[in-house]
Amino acid sequence: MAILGKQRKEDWEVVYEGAVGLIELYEEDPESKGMNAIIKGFRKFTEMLFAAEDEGRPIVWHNCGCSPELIRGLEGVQPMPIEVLTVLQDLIGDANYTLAVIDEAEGHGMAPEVCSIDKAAIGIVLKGLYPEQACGLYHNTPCDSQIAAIKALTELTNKPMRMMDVPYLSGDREIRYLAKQFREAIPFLEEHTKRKFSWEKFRQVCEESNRTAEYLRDWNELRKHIPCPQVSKIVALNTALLVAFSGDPEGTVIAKAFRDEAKERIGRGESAVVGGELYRAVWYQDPIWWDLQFYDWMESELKLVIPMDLFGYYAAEALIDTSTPESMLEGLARKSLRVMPMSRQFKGPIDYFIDDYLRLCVDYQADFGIFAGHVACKHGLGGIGLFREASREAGIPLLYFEFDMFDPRVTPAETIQENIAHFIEDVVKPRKEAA
Amino acid sequence: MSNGLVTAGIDIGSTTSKAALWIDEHLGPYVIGPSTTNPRETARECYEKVLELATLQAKDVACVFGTGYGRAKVSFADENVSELSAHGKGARILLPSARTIIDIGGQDTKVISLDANGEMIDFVTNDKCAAGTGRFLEFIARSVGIDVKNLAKLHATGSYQPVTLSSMCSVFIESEVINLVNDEVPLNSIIQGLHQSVATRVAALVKRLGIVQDVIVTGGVAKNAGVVDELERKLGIKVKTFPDHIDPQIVGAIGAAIIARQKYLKQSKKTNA
Repeated sequence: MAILGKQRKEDWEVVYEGAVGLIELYEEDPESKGMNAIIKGFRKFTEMLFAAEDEGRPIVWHNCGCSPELIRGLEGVQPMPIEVLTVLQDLIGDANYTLAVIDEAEGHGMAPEVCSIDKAAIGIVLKGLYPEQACGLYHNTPCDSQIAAIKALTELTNKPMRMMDVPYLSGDREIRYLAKQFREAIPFLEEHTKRKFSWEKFRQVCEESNRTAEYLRDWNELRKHIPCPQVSKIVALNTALLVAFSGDPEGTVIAKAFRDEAKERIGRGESAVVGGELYRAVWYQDPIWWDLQFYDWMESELKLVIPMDLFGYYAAEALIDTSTPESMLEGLARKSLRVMPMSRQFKGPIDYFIDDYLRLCVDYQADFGIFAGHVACKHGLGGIGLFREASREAGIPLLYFEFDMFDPRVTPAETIQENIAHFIEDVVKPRKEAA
Repeated sequence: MSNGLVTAGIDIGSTTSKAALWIDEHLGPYVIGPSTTNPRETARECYEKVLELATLQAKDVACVFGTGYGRAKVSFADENVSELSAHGKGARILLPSARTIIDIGGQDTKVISLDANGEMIDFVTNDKCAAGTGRFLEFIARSVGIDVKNLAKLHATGSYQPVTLSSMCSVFIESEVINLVNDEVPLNSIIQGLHQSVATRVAALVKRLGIVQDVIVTGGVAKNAGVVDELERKLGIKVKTFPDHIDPQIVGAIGAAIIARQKYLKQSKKTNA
């Protein structure tokens, strides 16, 4: 299937075909409003990316720590997260694809312990699959692995890049520090994209970003409902929504669809789990992106629902004050520090990370927590002992296992399923019965 | 013959099989025997033996629960329960202050964490590697011509000078031990080193969960005072022992019998309501 009427590299065609196929599938189901919207969003993102390339408009690469609003402030410039093809292949294309690009990167000398998404990005660039960038705008979060990967990408593409120094803490002083760097990045972006930055365009982008955040805030509240009205896997897509669609009208369309679907299903008294939910868990750390059906399995086999995960619950803190240029830069800095997935959790003291988890467990009335430890994430896994202590003190059982969010070779689905099933049988079920 | 409520737990482990009776609130007779290639038959034999010891018949037992690796093969059981739940329950009832249970079995090691109410809140298992299990000790003992039952005695013999075994894998440790024997290193030092090696692996597992006292060791390896001694050194704590010299190897079977009792009483209450 040709994207925008033109044949593209096969890897992208697979993604596009996957999106089109899934849209057809979900469109037949009027209750799949949320899933349908995000898959349409993925298709549109692919179209926008190639439209920019075809029209000769500049493309600016960025990483998942960097929310793209500032880039969108330049007329006609298309932002592209460096993780995009990996994520799209995992979610709607061929999940085995990621393994091939990881192997490609390792074959070129990337250390095996580097995060799989970063290795995959390197593999993709080595294969020459990304549209050419005018320049790169990055944050030095969420992790060291990503910083190493960005340096490698810069060397491989020989294009200029600017790295924002994201501080350890997230207070007002740190917000001002990051906002100042955003201001300094504007001339850099203008120079390399040959496009003018417009404060009015930036304001419109921030307002769009706020509309998305407001829908997500409402959606977060609706998912507290018991039984949880919507499928668990939709929560795993939050990260993709924030990274790829912040400031894009498509993001608002997706967030509204999430909200509307949850609201309508609550109105109809519907549960995500056919036959009724028995268990609720907060999913902490990274989602299983190589098999979204894993979430369906939890619902059908264990009657377990995930009302919320680590990366989705902070939308209300993402609102940007659009009254002045300075307030917008500071608002974007606040969002970068306090909201962007992984940046919020992994850059500062572990206490925030643990406090968020305990708050989520209480707010969503979780029977237990699932700490899905992505093996390369030393920032997250380094705190597991403290996590266990805090969970125990709070009386919330915590299941911990290691896996890789992009590489099922590390821990296969069957092993994870066994872990979760045993934990429910041995820990969660007896506690619920005793209560 | 008993007039009280009798329940039974049958624990079909990878190396040994156990059966225990729980009569009212007390431990009744129990048996321990080797597991065989026919777990169904092993379970039946254990059960018959324990009934014989108690001078009871199967009809006198209100409820039977199976546990252990072979729990699904206990064909006469009313239900079965995982070994984690069984060990957690058994240890807690036998020693109410227990918060951390280290079960070192024939082919795996489990660490169970209980909350203040005695409910299981977390666990970790090591079931992918033989090092740090009872089978590993048997394997090494056999390779140096010692009965596994004598390991603890040898550990306590002479001065305490454990050798350091550098290998992580039981296959490589065997050759390391044979080399040490050929180098005429005293056997007690080798055994102390062997126990230290097991304790190191188990302690790492315990530390993953966090140590909450009281700590108790169950499973066949709990009978090896040398391993328990090394574990105390590694963890820096004294582990508790069960009162009345209860055999730590039958805790799983006892736990299954207690859970059987609780389920039976709950069911009876529902039926009578």
